[in-house]
Amino acid sequence: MNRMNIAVRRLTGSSRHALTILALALGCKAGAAFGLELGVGAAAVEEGDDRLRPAALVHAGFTPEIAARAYLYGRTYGPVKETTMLGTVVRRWPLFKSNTLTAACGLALMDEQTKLSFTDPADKGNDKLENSYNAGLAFGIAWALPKGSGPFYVSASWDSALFPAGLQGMIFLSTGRKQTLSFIMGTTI
Amino acid sequence: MAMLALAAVASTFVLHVGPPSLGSGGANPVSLPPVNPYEYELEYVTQGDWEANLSVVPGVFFGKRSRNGGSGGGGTYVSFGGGYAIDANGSGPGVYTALGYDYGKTYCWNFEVKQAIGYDFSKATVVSPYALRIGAAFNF
Repeated sequence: MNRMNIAVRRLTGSSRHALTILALALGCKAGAAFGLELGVGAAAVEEGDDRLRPAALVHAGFTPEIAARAYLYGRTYGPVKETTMLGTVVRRWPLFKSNTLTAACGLALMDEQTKLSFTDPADKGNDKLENSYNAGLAFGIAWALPKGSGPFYVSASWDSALFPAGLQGMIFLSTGRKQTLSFIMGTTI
Repeated sequence: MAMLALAAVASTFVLHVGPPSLGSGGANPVSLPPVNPYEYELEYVTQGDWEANLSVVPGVFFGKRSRNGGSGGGGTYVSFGGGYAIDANGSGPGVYTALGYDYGKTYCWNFEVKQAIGYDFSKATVVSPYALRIGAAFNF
């Protein structure tokens, strides 16, 4: 770290500005212990029926506390294509004073899209696109490589996104749930 | 939702009420009034934040709480442990995690979401019940 600081001091003014801009563009500060986490992964999604569905996901950790994820999964059967997009933004904190286990809680947003698309021109008039949006609570726990293991980022997490089932969901605690079991690999910039 | 608190010292009893997910898909079934036994859960938490959870769904579990701001009640906590997960599709050994919030000192309002994953060996299936419940806790 000292060598890096000395090297930075030796840079000319314009070079130093360029380095600062680069660091800001990458979302990290020179010398900071935490960098931007970027990762992709696979997940098994459960929707309250004990069936696991494969999903793809991208992960970004902006600070040690704040992270976001986007999940994409769906299926096609006949003219029907179902696509679910689930996004979460969470605050993370250490679990049991561990540097590898974290808990997370935050906001979940979802779009369940159903597309009806017929190939027969005679049925084209019945094509339909429906989006169902919802917002709810995201929470979960995760294991990740300890901080300082960069440039690699590896984590496994168990999360849930809870969505109120209409107005009665707010009153009677009736909810729908997307549970995700995720494995993520990526890098820390 | 209704709630109750049981009592004594340096430990906590919690009674939770709320509809669990039975693994049948869709939203949790609500009963009004809440007369189904599977809507209730009892918790016992030691001073060291070890906890025992007893309910029909998601099951019976033992674990540890990790509190934000240290132990002693109040605030947000996350629990993690193991036990026996139960839902309508089966039951088996598993793990659980919960996110909860206590509001109060001796008598606390409590809000908790708990999820579990278990494996039913006889049916070769994964069960993953969860419950969102509110209740009352009494620290003694």
